[in-house]
Amino acid sequence: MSLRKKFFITIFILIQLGLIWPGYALFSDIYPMILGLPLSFFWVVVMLVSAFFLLLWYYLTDPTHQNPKSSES
Amino acid sequence: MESWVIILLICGIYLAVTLAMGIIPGLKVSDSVSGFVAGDRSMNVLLLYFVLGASIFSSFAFLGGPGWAYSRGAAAFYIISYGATGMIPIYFFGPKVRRLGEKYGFVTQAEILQDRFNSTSLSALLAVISIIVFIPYLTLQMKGAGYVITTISEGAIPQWLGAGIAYLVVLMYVYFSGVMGVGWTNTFQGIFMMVIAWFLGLYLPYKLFGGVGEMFTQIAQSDMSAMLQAPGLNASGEPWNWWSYSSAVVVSAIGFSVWPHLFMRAFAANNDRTMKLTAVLYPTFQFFLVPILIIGFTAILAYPGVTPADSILPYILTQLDLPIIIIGLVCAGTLAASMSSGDAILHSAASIGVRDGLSHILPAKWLTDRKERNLIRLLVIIISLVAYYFAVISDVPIVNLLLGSYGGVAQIFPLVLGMFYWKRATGYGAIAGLLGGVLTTILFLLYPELRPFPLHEGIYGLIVNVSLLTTVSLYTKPESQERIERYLNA
Repeated sequence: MSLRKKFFITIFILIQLGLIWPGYALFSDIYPMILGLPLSFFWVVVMLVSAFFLLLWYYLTDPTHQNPKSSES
Repeated sequence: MESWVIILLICGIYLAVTLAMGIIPGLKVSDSVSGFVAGDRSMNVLLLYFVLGASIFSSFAFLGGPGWAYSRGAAAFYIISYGATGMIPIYFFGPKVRRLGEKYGFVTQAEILQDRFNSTSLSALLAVISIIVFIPYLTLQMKGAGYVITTISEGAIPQWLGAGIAYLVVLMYVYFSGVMGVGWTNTFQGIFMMVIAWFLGLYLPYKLFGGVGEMFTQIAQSDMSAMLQAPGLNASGEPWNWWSYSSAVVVSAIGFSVWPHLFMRAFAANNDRTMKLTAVLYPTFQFFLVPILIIGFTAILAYPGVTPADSILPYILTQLDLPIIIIGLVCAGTLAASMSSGDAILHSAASIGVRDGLSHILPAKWLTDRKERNLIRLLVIIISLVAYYFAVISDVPIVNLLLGSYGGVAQIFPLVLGMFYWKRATGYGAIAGLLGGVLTTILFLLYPELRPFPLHEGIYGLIVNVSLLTTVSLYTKPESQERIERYLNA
């Protein structure tokens, strides 16, 4: 398995555990409030954004992209 | 002019635009089953993104989502959580599904599973499960639409008429345009819902508390502060436990990518990059649940004691002195949420019913491409009528059926994994796993007191499912080498 795939799977598992017990339990409090949101809410948003950037990075580094001529619109 | 007339006028304009957007693109696709069900496999990133996103955000988004936050607090974050990772599997299997569909002419989920597992019984089983799940789902969307129109018109327009008009529009564009009608209307409806959600999510706390931060600070200082502590409250208002919360997130995330109406959109993608990029971009759609939940939190202190909790958004709208135009737009936005899911479900249910159910029963002369497309259209009408009957006439409690469906749908996931990644998976194994998983899920849904741990019923289903899938597969004859390789190397 490539290093890229290992890294992806590791971070994916960390994010998944961050969304449930036990990861989320560490960030389940109300305080500190960040950007007006309680920590419990802010943390879920951080995980959502992290999952987005993880897959975006995985897509951008995908070695099978060799079809620049295929149109997207 | 009375204010509700203006509101209905806005909804009417919205419905007219939707109808036009739904019918015009149907004129361009071919007059075939592939055109009707998979849009001639021509969807680009923009369309596919909105088809997936808007199909998922049903009337639940504007009614149930704020309702959860309002009555159960942090428990509502589970809706954001399962969507954060739930679409990731489709990044990996979506392109394979698309390529195989293009090569062998598949247009539904059951068709591809039937081919890999060499079993028509499996396809019939999947068709039955899909339709059983879809009819209550569609019924709830109709009820939501009717409910909003009745509330806003102050009862002047009864529920049967409101739901009837909204879904007549849906019926028309699904009938004429098939999936392309779903695609273009969902794009319009999706953008519309997002704008409305962000506007309300920021405006309501500002108007009532002076800002989102101030609103949360006040809840934290009140005796309702336990609501902000994850995992929130359970249905009876007690603090929820981590077992239930975590297992609900996991089961919903597992089921997310294999919902038949979402899965089969992989066949509509125009190339692999489109499929991957749609999975990548999906969380940006999920992000719009943040303002949706904020709407519900806003009402905790401002309007305590509203029941049912799902009516909290319409309730706020009738309480606040908002400009009529805004109420009209929110009303239309809720209709958009209901219809953008209802159309996808209606279209999928009819396609699956014909391709995976009727096509195995009917004589071959009935199954020319043209006749099949007409059959799907006929089924679109029949399914609409059945759902409409449940929505406005029958009193059967259907919400329970739908609650059970998440655990049931998740049982398809092990089969999809087995299809691509395990060469020993066999047809008998797949049927045993799926049937065992679904029955176990139903058992623990109906008799929650039998659960050994307070885990979501779908988890028990998955355990039985995977055990049966592996053991039965290992004890039965493997599928042919050529068949397996097509899938392993897809």
